[in-house]
Amino acid sequence: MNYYENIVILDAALEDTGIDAAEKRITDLIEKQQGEVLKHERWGRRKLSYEINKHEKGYYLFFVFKSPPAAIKLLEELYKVFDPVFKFMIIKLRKKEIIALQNSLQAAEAKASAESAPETAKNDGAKNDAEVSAAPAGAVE
Amino acid sequence: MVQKGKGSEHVKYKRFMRKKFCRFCAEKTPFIDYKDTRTLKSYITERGKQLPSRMTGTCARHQRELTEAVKRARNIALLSFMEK
Repeated sequence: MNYYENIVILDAALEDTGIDAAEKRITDLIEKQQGEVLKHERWGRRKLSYEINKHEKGYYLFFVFKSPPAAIKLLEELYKVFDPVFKFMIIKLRKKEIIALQNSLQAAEAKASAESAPETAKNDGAKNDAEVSAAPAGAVE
Repeated sequence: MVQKGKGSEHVKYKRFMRKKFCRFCAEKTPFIDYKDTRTLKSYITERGKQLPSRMTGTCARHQRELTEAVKRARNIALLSFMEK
């Protein structure tokens, strides 16, 4: 199992349902190959730095996943025939990047558990604490 | 001895310059992220070319990593190959 990072640029003219479908199709393929999506983000519509296939804008999707190397070939084959995708890049993560990733995942987990805790606690002080701790984490992103 | 003298003379004419240092070494960044275009942009020219390490003071190792990051960012259209 290797760690990979994947950016996909979709057609910006695509509607939200189309984006959902594309995202689902990619995650399904990864999971079918015994992979696991660790993180996925939507960067939304962005202006491209240069024109690609007559596109000025693109919808960026970002995935971090763990999968066997064979899945990458299938993923690339999918992108080549998958119409909404016009540019993609898959990168294998190195040791240091994997360590940083695991740290960030742990931090996200801790944040999630901290957010669920104040809901059970009744005093307002705990809530304020949670808000303060959540703010810097958001700034990092 | 002669060489030493030459060097000090040379320094006399040189303007005062703050010593350059590698920012990545100083900050101990674990790796250079290609997605962090704000950092990368400080290492490229207005035209989009990468700056040499003799101008930025980046160490050889981090310059290599920076090159890779810039190339990746260009590939996925986060940075441009050339600004018009």
